Amino acid sequence: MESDRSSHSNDLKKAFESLFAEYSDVIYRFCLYKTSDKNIAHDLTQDTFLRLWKAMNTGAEVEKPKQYIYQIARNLVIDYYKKSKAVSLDALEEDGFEARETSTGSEMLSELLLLRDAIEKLEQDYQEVLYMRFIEDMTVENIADTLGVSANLVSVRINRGKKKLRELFA
Amino acid sequence: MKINEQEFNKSIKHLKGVQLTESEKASMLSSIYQTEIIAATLPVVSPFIFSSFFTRERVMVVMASFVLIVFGGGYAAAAGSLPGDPLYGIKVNVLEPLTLQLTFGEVAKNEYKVELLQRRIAELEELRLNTDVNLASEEESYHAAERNVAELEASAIFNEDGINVDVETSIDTYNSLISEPYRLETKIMKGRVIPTSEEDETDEGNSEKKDEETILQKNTGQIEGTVTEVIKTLDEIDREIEEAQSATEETVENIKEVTTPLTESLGF
Repeated sequence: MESDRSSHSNDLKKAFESLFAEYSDVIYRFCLYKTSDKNIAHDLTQDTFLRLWKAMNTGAEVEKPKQYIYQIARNLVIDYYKKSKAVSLDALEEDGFEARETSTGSEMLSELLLLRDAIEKLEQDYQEVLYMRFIEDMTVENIADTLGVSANLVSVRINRGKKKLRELFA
Repeated sequence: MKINEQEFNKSIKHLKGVQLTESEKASMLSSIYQTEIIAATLPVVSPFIFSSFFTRERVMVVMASFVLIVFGGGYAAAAGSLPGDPLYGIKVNVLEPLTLQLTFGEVAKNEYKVELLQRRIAELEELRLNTDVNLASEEESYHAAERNVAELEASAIFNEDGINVDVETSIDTYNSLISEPYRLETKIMKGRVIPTSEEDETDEGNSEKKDEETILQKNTGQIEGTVTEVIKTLDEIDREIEEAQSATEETVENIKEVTTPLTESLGF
């Protein structure tokens, strides 16, 4: 009995670490893209996997891990923005807090802001699809599976999104 | 500020190259494993100051008092009843849920739920001792135990390995005492070997086939019944037509009897 439990615990850990190895970079990139802050992206990625680990420990059956992990990350990003609105950066700075982002990699982050700015000018439907296609190099089927929509719809959104994006370029 | 296609592609290339370092990943994993997993959540307390008067607990206290006063003797009898006894339903459907409601605090409630499952085991053991086990009593016990397990599933607390030892052991013991069709199945039993998907599919296929056969048999039975009833009705209609024909013939005869002397006297 004891050995059964221990082997189950090991299996769980193994499954979790395999998901972590496969998706931690993907989720980190997603959070970095959404927040343009390495520290926050790091924290959000850790929180995402902490939630996954908790869910796996409480017996939740994760049928589509990628979809599930993305959904957690999305929710955490939304929570992060809600909280950031509640406490504005100006107010924090006035209280003596400093922004956590350092000048390291600031060029890349400013590029990232421009990239996000361009994509986010598009309608919501196109944003995630284009992100997954361009940055994560995901296939149409994979995107469809992750977003829970049909492959046909994803295909249409990619094509229209690309067209709209080109119209936005300087 | 607008971005051109070249800058856009460059940014994408940069972002694609972003990844966590191995040490960042290792420290992340270590932090995750160090976080305590707490499954049970705290109950939400109403901010309304007088809400406690109207909570379910208060209502249940009043009900319990009423039940105890009115059915004082019956309470003791029901509490000691076994599956198959007439009072067993009162025990598992009234008294135990009532006691659960009267148990305050998440931990105490969970302990009581585990105790209920252990009680189901004790009942089965007693039935076996009295050689009083039959399908009806097993079924009654199963329904009660199934509900206990469902309640546990909703609020079970797991240890750091994700296992609730009390529940798992109790379910194993319960299943060893009861016939196969009434064995408990639950997702709480995480250490158990889960059948492969192929087996599942075969089982599912078999059960679907069985279900289809049962429905077919049921439908055939219903059709046969309807056909018999229709035949019966047709026979009755035939009989009624025959009766009506003979009645008409009789009336015609009677009319003839009356009209014949009349026509004869008139010289027709």
